[in-house]
Amino acid sequence: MGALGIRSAASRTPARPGNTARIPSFAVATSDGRSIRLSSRCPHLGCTVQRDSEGFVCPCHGSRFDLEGRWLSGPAKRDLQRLE
Amino acid sequence: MTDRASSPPIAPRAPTTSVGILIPGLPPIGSLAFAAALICAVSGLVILPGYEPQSPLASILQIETARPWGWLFRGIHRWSAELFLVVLVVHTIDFLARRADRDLRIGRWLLLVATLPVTAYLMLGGLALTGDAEGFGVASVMQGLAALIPGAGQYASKLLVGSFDDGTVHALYLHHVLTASVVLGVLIAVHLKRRIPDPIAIGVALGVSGIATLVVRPALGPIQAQGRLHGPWFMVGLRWLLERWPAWLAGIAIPLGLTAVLFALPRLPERLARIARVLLGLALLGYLVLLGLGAVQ
Repeated sequence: MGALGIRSAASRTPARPGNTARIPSFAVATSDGRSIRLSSRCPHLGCTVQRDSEGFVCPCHGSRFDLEGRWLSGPAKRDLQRLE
Repeated sequence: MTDRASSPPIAPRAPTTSVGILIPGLPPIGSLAFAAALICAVSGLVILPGYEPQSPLASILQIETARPWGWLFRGIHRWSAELFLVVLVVHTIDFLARRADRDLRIGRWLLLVATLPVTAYLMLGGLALTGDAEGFGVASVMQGLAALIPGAGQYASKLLVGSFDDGTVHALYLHHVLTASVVLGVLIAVHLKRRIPDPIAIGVALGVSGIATLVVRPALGPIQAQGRLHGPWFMVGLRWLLERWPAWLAGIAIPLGLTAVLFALPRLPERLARIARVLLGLALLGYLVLLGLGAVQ
């Protein structure tokens, strides 16, 4: 894994109150070395995104996101949700 | 007497609310729709005991491999549903082309039109119940679109699709085997002219869905998507739109708007009704083009 890479994929967050409970997530390392969790749900219609070498891609309607979950192209128009 | 005998016979006026398109050698289109629905229901009941909403994909594999003729019944269930959808759309076009909606009471017409969205929901729900990547993709899109309904999105999403984060499909299962199926059964029953199915129509529907099963077994994919998800063939046009237009427009406003036009059709003044028919015809043609575009994508 390089300086910017995916540490682990598609783990499930523990159930807790709030709208991020039980959302399957990806743990990723950012370019400044922080670790963040990204929702695996595409912000377009909620399909589960897949990771590839360039970041994440939605298999339903083709939205693309970079390795930190920032929207690149496709109908989603928003970044992947960061889970706190 | 001589005049009457020599005058040409007067052709009886074709009843506008009768059996619909008559293709030589084939049963009336309405009878075929009823037969396809019946076969779909019966084959669904046969595979029902083996299906488990808490482990959808595994239980379908079990039905396909371990239950006697399970693969055949599942295939017939799937293809008779597809046949029902196609025949229902043709039946509706035929009905509109003959302007038969003008002869019906408004309540009856509303029930007839309601058959279309209920059928679409049942079919999408059925695909989601496979529990593979395609199925969960369909469920996600259904959930995402339902959530966009103004004012009731979250409720509609929870009520119609429910949660499937843990890989179970309880809400969809309940609606597929009970709620929506009963609603569709009632909607079909209220407009049947004869409750006993046409044996020829049953034979044709069973033959078509049986042969389709032998030729193309309904696919089951991996549980995780491996590349692009294509969705059901009748939704590739909507997928094409959803990739380009705002989801609320392509997935909610346009379908609801067209359904509302269809609902209102018999009550519109003649001039407006003519425009509405042209609009519906264009929408149908446009969707056929989108089906082609989505298929080659």
